[in-house]
Amino acid sequence: MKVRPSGDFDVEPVENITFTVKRKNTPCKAGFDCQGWQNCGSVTSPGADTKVKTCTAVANSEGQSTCTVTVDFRNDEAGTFDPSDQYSVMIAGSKGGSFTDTFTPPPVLNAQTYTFFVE
Amino acid sequence: MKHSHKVTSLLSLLTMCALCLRAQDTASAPSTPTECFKGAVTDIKNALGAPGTDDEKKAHVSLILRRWFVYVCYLGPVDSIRSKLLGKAEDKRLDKQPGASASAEGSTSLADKGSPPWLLGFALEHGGLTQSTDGNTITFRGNLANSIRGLLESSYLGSYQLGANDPLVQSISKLSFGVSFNAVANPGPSAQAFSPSTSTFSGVSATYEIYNHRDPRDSRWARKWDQLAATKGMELARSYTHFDAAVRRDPKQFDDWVMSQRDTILALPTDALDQQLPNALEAAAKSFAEQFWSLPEVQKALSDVNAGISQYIETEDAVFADIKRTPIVTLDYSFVRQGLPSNQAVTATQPAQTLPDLSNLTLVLERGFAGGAKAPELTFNASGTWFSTPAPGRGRVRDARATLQFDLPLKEIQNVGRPAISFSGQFLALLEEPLGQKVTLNGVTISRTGNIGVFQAKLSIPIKDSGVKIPVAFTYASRTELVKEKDVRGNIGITFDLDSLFAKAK
Repeated sequence: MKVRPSGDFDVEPVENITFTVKRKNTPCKAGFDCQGWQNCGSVTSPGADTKVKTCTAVANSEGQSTCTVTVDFRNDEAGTFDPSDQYSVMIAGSKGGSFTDTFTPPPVLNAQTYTFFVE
Repeated sequence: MKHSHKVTSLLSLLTMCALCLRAQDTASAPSTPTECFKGAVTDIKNALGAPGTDDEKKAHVSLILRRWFVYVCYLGPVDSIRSKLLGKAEDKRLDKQPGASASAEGSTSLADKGSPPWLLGFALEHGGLTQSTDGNTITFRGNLANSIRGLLESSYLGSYQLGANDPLVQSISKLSFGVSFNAVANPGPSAQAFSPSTSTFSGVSATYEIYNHRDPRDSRWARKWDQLAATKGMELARSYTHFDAAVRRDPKQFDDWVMSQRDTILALPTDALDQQLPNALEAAAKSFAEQFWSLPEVQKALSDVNAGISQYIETEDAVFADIKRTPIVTLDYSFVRQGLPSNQAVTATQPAQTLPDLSNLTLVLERGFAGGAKAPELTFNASGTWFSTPAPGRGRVRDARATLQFDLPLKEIQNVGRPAISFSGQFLALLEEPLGQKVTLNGVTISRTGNIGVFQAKLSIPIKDSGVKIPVAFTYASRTELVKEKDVRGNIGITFDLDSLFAKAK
C-alpha cells in the first residue's frame, strides 16, 4: 500500500488493508462504511479506546474501493469535548506500507473517506 | 414588614429572575464560523511538523482538506448543524457539590448533592441555614485517588482510564474528603461562660459514592456506545461516502481543487502558520462553496449528511439522557464544630462549658429526568446528627432531618453560562438542646427542642468557562435552633470546580 500526494492510496490486488482507529480517551466511537472491497471483516474492539476493521482489496486491477471512518468527540448532550482529545486512524497494508491520519476537535463529529485504487 | 411578606417578596424576586433567565433564548449565541477550522489547523500543524517525506506531507494536507464536515460546519445553517458540530467545552452537571455539607455552619445548601468534585473543589460561603449563626465557611473538597490519576495523566478524560481495571483504585476513588474552616475564628467570649476557641477549623467530611454511574466513560455504557457506532455511526459514514462521491464526480475538477488548496497551504511560511492557516482554510472553504456546494448532486448528498448528523446526535443524546437518569446513592459523614451565635447574647448556665462537637451521617439519593441539558434533578437527603461526646442527662442524638431538593437548569446566557435554580424543603426534628446544654438567650433561659421547617430558593450563576459558580440563596425557617421566631436570611457564596478547568486543559 502506498499513499499518493493527493491523499488516495494504491494497493495490490487482494491486499488486506487494516484500519485501526484509536482514541486518546474512552470510549472510541468510530463508525465505518466500506464499499467496493472483495470482503470486509466485522469491527472489533481490542480495548475501549480502539476499533479495528480489515478489508481485502478486489483481485482485478483498476478496481476502486472506499472506506469512510467517522469519529465522535462529544461527551454530553451539550457537545462538550476535550480539546486535547484525538483520534488516530492507522491504515496498514498486508504487503507493506502504513499511513496515520489524526483528528482533533472541533468539529466534534468528523469523518474521512479513504479511497483505494488497485494497481 | 412582617416575615411572611418578606419571604413572599424575596421568593417572588428570585422566581422572577429565574423565569426571566429561563425565558431567554440562548441558542441565540451564534458560533463563529471560523471555529470550524480549529481542529484542522491543529492537525495540519502536527502533520507538517512530523517527520515524513514531502509526498506524505502533501497526502496529509490533501486528506485534511477533504474533511467535508468542516465545510458543512462552516457553510451550514448557523442555528442547527454548526452549533451541533462545534460543541462546547463546558461542564454543566448539577449533581456536584464543591461547598460545605448542609449541616455545616455557613453552608448555602439545604441539601447535600450526590457527587463531590471528581478532582478538587473550593467554596467560600456566607450564611447558615437552621443555626442561629451567620458563618463564613471556606471548604476544600477533593478526591485523593483521582487527583493523583489526574496528575499522572495529562487529560481529564484520559485520567479516568488509569487504574480503571483495578478494583482497589476504583474503590478508593469513590471516597472523597472535605475540610472546612471559618473565615474568622469564633473566640467564644468568656463573658458567655463558654471556653474560648481560637481555632478556625470548623469541620471535616468524607463522602462515599455507593452507586454512581453518571460518567459517560463508565464501562457500563460501553455496549451502548458500540451499538451507536454500529448503527447510526455507520449510517452517518454511508451518507458521508455518498457526499464524497458527489464532490468527486468530476475527478479532474476535484483533483485540481485539492492540489491548488494544498499547494497554497504548503507555501505558507512555517513561522506564520498560526495566523495564516485559518485564513487559508477559510479561503479553501469559500473556493469549495464556489465550485461544488451548489451542484445538485452535492446538495442532495448534503441533505442526507445533515439528516444523518441530526439522527446520530439525537440517538447519542438518548444515551446521554439514560446516563443522566441513573440514580446516585451517596453516604456522607461530617464532623462539625459548633459555633456560637454572632448576634445573640447566649450564655451558659454553668461556668466553663464547652460547645460539643457534632457528627452527622447523611444518605443522599439523587435522580435525573429526561430532557438533556435542561433536565431537572431531584435530590433526597435523610440524615441524623449526634453529639460526638456523651454528657450526663443528655441524649446522644441531637436531630433528624429529611430534605427534598429540586434543581432546574435555566436557559444559557451568552458569555455567562447556564444558571440553575433550586427549591428545597427540610423537616428538622430537634431532639436535644442544640448546644448540648441549657443556655440563656438575652437573659432568658430557653429550651429549644421541637420541629423546624425550612424552605430555600437558590440561584447558581456560573461564570463562563471558569469552573466558578456564585450561589445566591434565600432561606425561610419556621424558627431557628435557638430563636423561637421565624427567620429569613440570605446566603451567598462562590464555588470553584477544578474538574471544569481540567476537562478543558490541554
